[in-house]
Amino acid sequence: MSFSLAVLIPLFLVLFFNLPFYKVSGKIAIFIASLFCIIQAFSFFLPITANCPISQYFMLDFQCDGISRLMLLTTAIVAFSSLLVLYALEDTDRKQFNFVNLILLSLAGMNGLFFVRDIFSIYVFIEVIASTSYVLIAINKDKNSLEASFKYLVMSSVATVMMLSSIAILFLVAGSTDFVTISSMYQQYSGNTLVVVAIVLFIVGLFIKGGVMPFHGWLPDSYLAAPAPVSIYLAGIVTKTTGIYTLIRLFYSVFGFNTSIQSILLIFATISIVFGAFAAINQSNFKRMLAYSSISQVGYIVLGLGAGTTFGVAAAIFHLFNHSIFKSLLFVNSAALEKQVNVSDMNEMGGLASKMPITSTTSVIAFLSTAGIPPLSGFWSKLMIILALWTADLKVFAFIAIIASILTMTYFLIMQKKVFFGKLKEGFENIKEAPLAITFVSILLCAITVVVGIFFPFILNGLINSAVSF
Amino acid sequence: MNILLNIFIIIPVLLGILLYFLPTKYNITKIVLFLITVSLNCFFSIYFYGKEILFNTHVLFRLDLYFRYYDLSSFMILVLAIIAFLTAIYSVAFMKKDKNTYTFYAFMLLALSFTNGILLTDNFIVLLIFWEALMIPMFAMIAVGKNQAFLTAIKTLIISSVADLCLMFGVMLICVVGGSFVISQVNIDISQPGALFAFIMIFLGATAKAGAMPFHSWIPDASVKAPIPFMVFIVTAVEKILSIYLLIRIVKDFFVIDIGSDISIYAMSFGVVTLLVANMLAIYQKDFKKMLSYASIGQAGYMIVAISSITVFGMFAALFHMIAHIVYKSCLFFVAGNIEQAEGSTEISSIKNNLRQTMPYTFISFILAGSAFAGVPFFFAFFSKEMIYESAISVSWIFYICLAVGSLLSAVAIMNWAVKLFFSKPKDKIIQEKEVSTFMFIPTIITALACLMFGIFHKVPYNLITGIIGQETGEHSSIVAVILIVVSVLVLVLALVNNLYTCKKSQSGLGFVLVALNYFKVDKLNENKSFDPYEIFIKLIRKFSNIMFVIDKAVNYFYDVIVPVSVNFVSASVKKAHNGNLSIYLLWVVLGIIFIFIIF
Repeated sequence: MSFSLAVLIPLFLVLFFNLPFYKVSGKIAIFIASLFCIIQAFSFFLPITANCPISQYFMLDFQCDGISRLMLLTTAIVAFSSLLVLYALEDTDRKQFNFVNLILLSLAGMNGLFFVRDIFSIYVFIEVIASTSYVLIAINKDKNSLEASFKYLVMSSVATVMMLSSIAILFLVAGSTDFVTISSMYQQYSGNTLVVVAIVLFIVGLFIKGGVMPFHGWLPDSYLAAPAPVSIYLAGIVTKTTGIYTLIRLFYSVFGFNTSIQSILLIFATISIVFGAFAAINQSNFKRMLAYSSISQVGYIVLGLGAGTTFGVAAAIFHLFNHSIFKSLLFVNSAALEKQVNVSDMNEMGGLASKMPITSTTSVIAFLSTAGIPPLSGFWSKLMIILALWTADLKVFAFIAIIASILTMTYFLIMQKKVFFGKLKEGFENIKEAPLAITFVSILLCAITVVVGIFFPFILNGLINSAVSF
Repeated sequence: MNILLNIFIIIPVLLGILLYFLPTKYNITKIVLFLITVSLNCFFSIYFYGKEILFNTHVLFRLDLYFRYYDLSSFMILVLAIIAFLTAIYSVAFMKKDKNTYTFYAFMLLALSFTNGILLTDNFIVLLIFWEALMIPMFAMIAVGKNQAFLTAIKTLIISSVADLCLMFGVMLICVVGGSFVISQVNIDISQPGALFAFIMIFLGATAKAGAMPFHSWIPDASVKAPIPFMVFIVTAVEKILSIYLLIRIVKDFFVIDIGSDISIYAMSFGVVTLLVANMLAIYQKDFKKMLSYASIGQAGYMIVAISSITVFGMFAALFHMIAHIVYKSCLFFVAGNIEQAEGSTEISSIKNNLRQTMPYTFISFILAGSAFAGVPFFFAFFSKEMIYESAISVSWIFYICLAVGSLLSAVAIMNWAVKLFFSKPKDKIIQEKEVSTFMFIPTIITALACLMFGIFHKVPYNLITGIIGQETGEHSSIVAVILIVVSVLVLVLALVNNLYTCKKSQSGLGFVLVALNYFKVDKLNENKSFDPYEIFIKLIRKFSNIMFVIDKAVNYFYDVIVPVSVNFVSASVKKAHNGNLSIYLLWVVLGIIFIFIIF
């Protein structure tokens, strides 16, 4: 399978759905899109080497390495979860149809982002993803979602401007936008003020996209206001791809690390981890708490990257993967709660573990994994991040990473206690477990978390080490 | 040759375990097995006596652990086996009604085996293992006793653990300094670096086993709570045998110490303090068993003094006194057991009958054993006491005076009890005609007769011990010997006169001794438990735990109040900062960019 197909098929599917001669129902669209996600996920296990002539026609330099493949897999899993939740939650055919189209477009952008090897194309694909995201957030067209979408739009525009300026400067200096030229240019002019400004602008742009504190202003509102499938998709993969994956890609493949870049990454990562966790502790809204938790976990990924070694990069990529899985899982669970309980304030919930056992159990596993409890997957990636920091002689940050895990534990325990444990609140007697589609997704994601954790040694060799050899 | 290993160590252990796990319906089988094992042990210890056999466990464990059966250990094993046999017979009758009897049998076999192991082994590590393992049966045998025996068992365990820790440390040092784990290869000069400390540690561990002073306080407690067979077998026999065995080994084999050296003097002083204090406290006891246990501690002091004089004669005397003490103290404990069986208790207040009339054989046994205890001429302990006096006076006359005072105290104490138990008028007019059962009567009378017989024919044990220690070679001045005997007799006469004179006047037969002791405020030691190192230790622990409690509270306050409050505060302020205002978010972006430029 030529990997350009990963970009072309979604595009083609969108065109196909929207041909004027006949009408595709939302359910069929979901089915086809899910099928595509499954194929994409399994393509991870197939050898992909050949390039596609079409991409050359568009003058795109497509390449596929281990990180790209891992990201393809992650994207497929999250998109699949999102689609299934969409199937379970949205009943309007029109909405389902619109969703699928937008998600397919976004997928095309994302898959393209994993393959491209020049910074201008990166910008283009990020914009593709961002444009679909604006619409996805605002799809309910109520006041909150429009406001959130507007916030995202504004902040994202700032990021876009910055990235575009940065690209312009780099293009000016290097004369080309492909990775190799820029990389060699950077080694020559790394001290140049203009180049430094360009890199800083690019970093800030990606920080805004990825929701690193203090550039995260749009993120909690968007996650909260967006409908459940969108939240899953946004939190699970979009911000991680546009922001964090690109960051990793830039520093791993293009710029390399130096002390000032590392210190920027480490400091902002620490701010994200600590204040994200603090902000999460006092939230009463389930999704909002998850949003802040997401910020905190993104901090961990950036922290791993900040170690500045290939091992750190591997740790970051692995944590990105794990985070996508268990944060999607938590958002799926929040969707289940939203659907079954119809209350978003955690203080009003209680004792739901008896009524929704699958949701409760999977959320326990997800948050244990987030907090880094062995033998779940999150433990290993956090351990790798801490080890990377330790071996890179950044022991202070390693300590912060460990201590902040306690904060993670704190807010998740508060959540679990408020929502699932304790006495069943009055009025909740008739609540049932979420629909099959949602519980299926929960169990699938939960199984991935557990299996990756238990079979970590194989994962380490087969998955991570092939992505980033350290 | 593994047959010895089987007979003395493995078979008792296996049978002990079997007895423990056999169901209750085989109770008769249990008794029979128990008696057979003990008898076999006794028989083989006589059969093999005096042979020198070296064997190792290579065939068994693929490990060269040597065991050495030779004169000293064979003698100790013999004594132990005989006492075990007598105790076994006694306990079958004494503990008939006790539901924990069979547990007791099982653990007694274990104790027998472990003690044999200590006496036989030629490897320090194995010795330590057996030594520590002995704590298990000790603990269990106390714990099966009367109500709250469990607490006493714990007390015993703690005290013994501290003592054993000393021993362990000492053995470790001796192995390092001596460069070998094999016991018979270790022979180091006390002046070598570390040797002195090793000596002190092992000395403490060994004397603690006999119940020397800082480690004594569990014995009186156990005497009240634990069953009589425990007191006979463990406290009187096993503990004394092990202690004397190890003490003889350290002064004779492990270390080279000069006679009259400082360390010898200190060790003797240690023994003297033990015997004086223990005998003084024995005077005050209101319970016969408790008095006996204090006296037992005191007699350990005699032996420590004798051995610490380092002379061959001293060791000879200690070994002699050890058997004498085992015999008469066993008999006295048997007597106590008989009285307990008949009267329900051995406390003064609970004795209602005139025991002289109701229990004539017990009375006779008491008289014989008590005479031996007091050191009456021609009784078993008389001879050994004279030898101990002589070895003490050969070092310093001060020690001798202390020993004589100790003898006076013990004589006064036993005479006082003789009056109280057998010559006082019955409080109630109920006279119950009951002597104890045959099984209890036989061991009592055997030990009682032994007190007399070995006193008259003292050449028998004398020759036995000569075979072990070697001919005692010290020059004995016959004048000194005569003076010592005269003084001993005078001491006895003094005690008797004191007793007879004061008994007429009052109930207490203690007379001027009590007055003198009260003058020195010894009674204070007895009344408040301040003299019990264990109680002091527990008090310290309580104080420590109080302090820890306060610290813990502070720590708790930190975690329960300070941390959540501060976290909540930070969290709330962070939440407040996210007010949803886009311009503020954009401001953060600008500030962030500025910050990044500053970092670069």
